[in-house]
Amino acid sequence: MSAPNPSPYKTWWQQVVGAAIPWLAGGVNGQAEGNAWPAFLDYLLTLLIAARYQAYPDYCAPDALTHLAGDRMLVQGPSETNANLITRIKTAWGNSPITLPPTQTGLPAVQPGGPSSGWALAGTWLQLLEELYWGGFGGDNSGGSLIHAPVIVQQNGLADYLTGIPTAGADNRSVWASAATAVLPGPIVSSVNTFRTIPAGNSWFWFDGNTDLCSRFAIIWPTAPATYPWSTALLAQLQKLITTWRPNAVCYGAFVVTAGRTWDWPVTTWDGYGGNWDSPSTVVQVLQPF
Amino acid sequence: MAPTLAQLLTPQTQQQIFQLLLAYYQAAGYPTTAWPQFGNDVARNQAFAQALFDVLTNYIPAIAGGSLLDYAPNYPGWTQLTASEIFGLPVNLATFTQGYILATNTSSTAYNFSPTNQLIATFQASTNRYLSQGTGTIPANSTLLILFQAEFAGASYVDPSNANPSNSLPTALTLVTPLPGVWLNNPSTNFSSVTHVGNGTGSLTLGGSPVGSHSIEIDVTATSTSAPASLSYKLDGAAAVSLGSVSSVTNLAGLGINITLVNGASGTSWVNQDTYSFSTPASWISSQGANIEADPALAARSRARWASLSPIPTMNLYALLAQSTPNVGAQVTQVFVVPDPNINNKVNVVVAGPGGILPGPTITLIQNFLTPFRRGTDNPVVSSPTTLGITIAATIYGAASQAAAIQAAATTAYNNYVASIAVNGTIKLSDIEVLTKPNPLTGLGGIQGVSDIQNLTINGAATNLILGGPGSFVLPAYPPTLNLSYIFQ
Repeated sequence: MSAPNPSPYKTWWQQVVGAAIPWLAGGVNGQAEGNAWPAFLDYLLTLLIAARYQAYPDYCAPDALTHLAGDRMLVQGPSETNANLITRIKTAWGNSPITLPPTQTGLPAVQPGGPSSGWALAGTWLQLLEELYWGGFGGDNSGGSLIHAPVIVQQNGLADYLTGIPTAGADNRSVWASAATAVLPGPIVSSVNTFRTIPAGNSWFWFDGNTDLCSRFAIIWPTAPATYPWSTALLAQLQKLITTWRPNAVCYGAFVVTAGRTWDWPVTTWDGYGGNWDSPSTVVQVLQPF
Repeated sequence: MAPTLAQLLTPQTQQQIFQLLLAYYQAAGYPTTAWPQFGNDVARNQAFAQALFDVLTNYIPAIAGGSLLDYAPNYPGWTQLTASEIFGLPVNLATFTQGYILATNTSSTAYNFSPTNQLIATFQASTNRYLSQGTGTIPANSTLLILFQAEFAGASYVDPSNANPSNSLPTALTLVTPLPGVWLNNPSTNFSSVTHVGNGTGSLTLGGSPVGSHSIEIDVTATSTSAPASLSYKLDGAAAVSLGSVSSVTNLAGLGINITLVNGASGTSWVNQDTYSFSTPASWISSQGANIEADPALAARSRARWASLSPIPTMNLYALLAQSTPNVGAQVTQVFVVPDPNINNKVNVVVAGPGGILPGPTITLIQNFLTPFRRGTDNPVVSSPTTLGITIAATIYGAASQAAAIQAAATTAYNNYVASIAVNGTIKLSDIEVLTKPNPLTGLGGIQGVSDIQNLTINGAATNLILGGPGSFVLPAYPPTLNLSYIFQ
């Protein structure tokens, strides 16, 4: 599918001018002229069509892709192919021409035209995780498997993460998981209002003693991805990605565990709270709360 | 080979196109080496080249870049076309400044005005003209507060308050057609309206004789059914200062501001973490005019349009809504959307306009437009940035023969500079120096006649002043205080 090829002006010269003024088109200089400025007009027409094609991701020049993506607030990561970006650009609406997912996945059927990815899912952790992946922050592709992927933890006890490589423009719930964080062995007394407590037995993730402000989340890389450490410019890009795609919740920060593990992730036995990470752990906070 | 976007966007000169055309002739075997200098072949092909130049320079780059938001602002008309046809966003048209001017009639004659007999007021400094709205009568030996509207739409109608503080020299704000015995002033009021965020039913009554330009936030620090209530205050965005448990406050922070707590008719009057914000003084302007939405702003709004596809609100949705508010969206030239650091699901939508702080009624209009679109448990709260008083001090050296001109130019330059600082911008010593001192090599720029500037400080420090920070949004108060001393030689 593309624009129809226009008839060349060179052909016009030979056929139309040649029929109307045969002495002009048929002479030596006339034939040469027929291959000159009509050919230039053909070149010009090529440019005009190419100019219009810059609006279409399948037909534009490669250097237009980042601008088409930027118009949709999408970021091409350092390892994302142009073909993948084109798919994301075309499916930014979230209305990809999907088919119903296999029934064995157990997922609810997604209707064709329904939200499957892109902006229709903005504000979900699934979409933020996808955008982090495409932007170069969402883990590493190791022979088709996802490793070093980040985890989004909510203070109120949920953790979301990708289990596999997402597919551009597709319904990626099959490579997404959500799990409860470890449960509290004892109650947490709010440091803000001491009459408030979070009872033992509830899933929780300790940021601090402010249990009233529980709509916070953090992003944790339990193991450092290959692209780490990130430059200041990349960290700014990371923060912009999170800011653009998060719901209106406070991000408590972004953390990379460079050695050891965090005390509450992966979900294991709760081994205390109070802001301590598992020992021995080396945790780098790469983004402050925002 | 298909051209790149960069190639398509690069215009060529007429000579380059002529050479390209010539190359086509040469490649086709057409004789091109013996053309007389002013012969038909040269003239005809240069004419071709001119027409092709028009296409290649004016149309192909625009067609290539016009539908890309990154480039569309480079080509007049294309951003509006793209925003309207692809993103469904009409451009925000320019709006008119409106404000109240006090007419004092010292004569024994009453004067009428109407839409067909409008009063025209002119600010001498800016030459901006404003037209009276509606119908009314200025009574004999009395006063009337009259709504005026700028003659034309646009952001340049930002004339300061109190142009004629007394009728001893009533020339700064005049009627184009004088009415004998009538003089005008555009007084500021002591306080803006109080913006209350939270669920308490109590309210504040403001009084006193405030000194200086400030923004104040009163925070409730403990829930109380009725006054007294535990409060703290933040002055110009600074750290909170406890007021203790009070029913009223006299001379807040030594600024002459008095506050009385008024309990609600029912319910809990004072709820922990409720905030009450106001500023002093309040401008005479009730509605700030705005220019037609600039192409880069329209491009940014178009990108934000994507956020409206999701049932979950993100930052860009509220920014889009604030800047799309009917009639006043164009006034919102800066918008920041930040989750509140203390209250779950509260979203702070901080807006500012071309003249800095937007009038209270405009904030209300934006809030009213935005509220029905909020989703889930979100609580988007539209507010203005806090303002910080700015004092610029310096010693300026200059030629005695130009003393008056130097002083006037310095005042204008510094006022305009502070007015140009965006929310959370930086006021730089180097900028002020460049504005003041002509380039020593070229003699250009700066204030003519100035030889040096020394002892320059901003708010008492010889360092750049960075406004605001993460989660706090600050605009410089306007106009700044200028403590300038001059040494003329």
